[in-house]
Amino acid sequence: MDNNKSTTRLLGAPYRHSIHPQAVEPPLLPAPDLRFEQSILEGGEVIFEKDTPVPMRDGIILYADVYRPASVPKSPSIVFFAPFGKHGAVPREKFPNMGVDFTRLSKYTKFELPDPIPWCGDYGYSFVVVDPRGTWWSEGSEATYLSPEEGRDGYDVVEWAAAREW
Amino acid sequence: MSAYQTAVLKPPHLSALLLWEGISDIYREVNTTGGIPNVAFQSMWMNMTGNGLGESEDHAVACLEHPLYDSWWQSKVVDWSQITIPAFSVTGWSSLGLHLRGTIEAWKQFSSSRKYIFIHAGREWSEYYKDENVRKQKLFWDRFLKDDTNEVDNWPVATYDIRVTLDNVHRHSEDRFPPKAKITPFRLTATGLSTDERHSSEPAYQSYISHSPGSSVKFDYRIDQTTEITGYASVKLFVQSLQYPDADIYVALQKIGKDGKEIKFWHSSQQVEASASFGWLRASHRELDPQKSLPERPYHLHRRRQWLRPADIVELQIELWPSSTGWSAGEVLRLVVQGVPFTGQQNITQVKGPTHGFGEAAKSFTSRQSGL
Repeated sequence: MDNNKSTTRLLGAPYRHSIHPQAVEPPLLPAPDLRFEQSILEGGEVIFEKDTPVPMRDGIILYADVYRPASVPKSPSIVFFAPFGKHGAVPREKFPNMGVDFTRLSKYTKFELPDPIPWCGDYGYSFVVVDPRGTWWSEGSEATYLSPEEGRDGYDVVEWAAAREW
Repeated sequence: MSAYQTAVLKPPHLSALLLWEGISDIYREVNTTGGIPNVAFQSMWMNMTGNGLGESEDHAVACLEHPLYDSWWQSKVVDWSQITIPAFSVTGWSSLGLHLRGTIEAWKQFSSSRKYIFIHAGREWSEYYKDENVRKQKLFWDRFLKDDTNEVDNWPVATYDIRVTLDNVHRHSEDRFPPKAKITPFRLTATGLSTDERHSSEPAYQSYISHSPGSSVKFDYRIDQTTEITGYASVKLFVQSLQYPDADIYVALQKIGKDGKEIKFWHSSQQVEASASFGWLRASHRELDPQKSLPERPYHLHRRRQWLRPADIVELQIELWPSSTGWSAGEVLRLVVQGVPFTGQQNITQVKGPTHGFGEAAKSFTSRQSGL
């Protein structure tokens, strides 16, 4: 067994070179620069931590955006693990006739994710929104989808979140 | 979508799963439905997801490079019965060729003592953000992440929408899915669908032109009393392909109103173009898994291709995706079989088919280095 190769690659998966996170084709939105930043979102109820490093068991760093209630010291976490770009790479305009009333969602609502303002501000949950391995700025030489590798990373993200003070 | 892969590893702090429109066996559900490659959709998906600093597993070419079900496809499927934590699975009848089949399939096999399923009649994204459904999400998380005692303790196991028309929907609850039902066999005859068990002594056939949109064969059954059809269904056909060593078979189960027009439902997340249900099968992929197949739910191996000669008449068992539709007396249940998709082939999120090319192809008149 070649330890340098993922299970997915050993099983013969086809690959392509990824598009650089800041060179994606419109209408996709490029990822902002990789930088940890903490801010308080509009309304003051939600702490936002952009590009929080989450270490995996093999030392690879995935980047997560964390949204958590400002007023509660400890809150249960909900993990979102999808390759669509935690920064909201997929614009609402990409899919017409979605039937979603966007006027009722805050501007922080990203593609296929709940609105963090009520969920973290009012309902008392923390969100851990991960860019999976090899996607966007997250480390790892390759992105795989629905794979055993993703399963292991998901495990590590869950346990990382559980170990946070919040 | 990867939540199943994580859940079977049982992270000690993973308390519950909310699976809103999942994928559990991507070969059978999305990339290669019925053995028919769906490259255009996956190409769109790759363009949204194949972004990073290294390489990306290429799902746009996946079903071309791996047309048969192999250990790579298998690696994306887990043993869902290993999932034991509370789970709430949600999908919609509209998610044909995408989330519908797999969300149900995995949920059925969870070992969780607390598991719920909700199958809606709406569109994927509008249902996700609707107040009543955000409330369901919150109740579920409150129950299992905060240990709040709430109405989840009284939730029925399965809740589903019975579609009468696009906007006329009845919500129904059961202690299981699919609900207990009577499986009704219909026979294809020269005059339509028949529940008469007697064999016709005359061999009969109908034909259509496989490559021709608008060419199809139809079999009608007039409904004589209020009828709900919910759960699984399948179609058995004996097929001969005279000019091609294979045949892509597209099947629709349609609801025809008293005015003779088809009543259509949401398809995918955006369009009103779905029949009551669809089924797909590439004839060369007809080999069944005898262990997993049921009369109402054939299960194909996709391990080898059995090509057709013009003289061969082969038996195909075609899976119709799960559905729930209500009929009134005087309406018609219609089975349509054709060689091309029923859905709009202009829209990349709706296209379901083996098209080897899609969308704009730009021709450059100066040489340009393609970027890596």
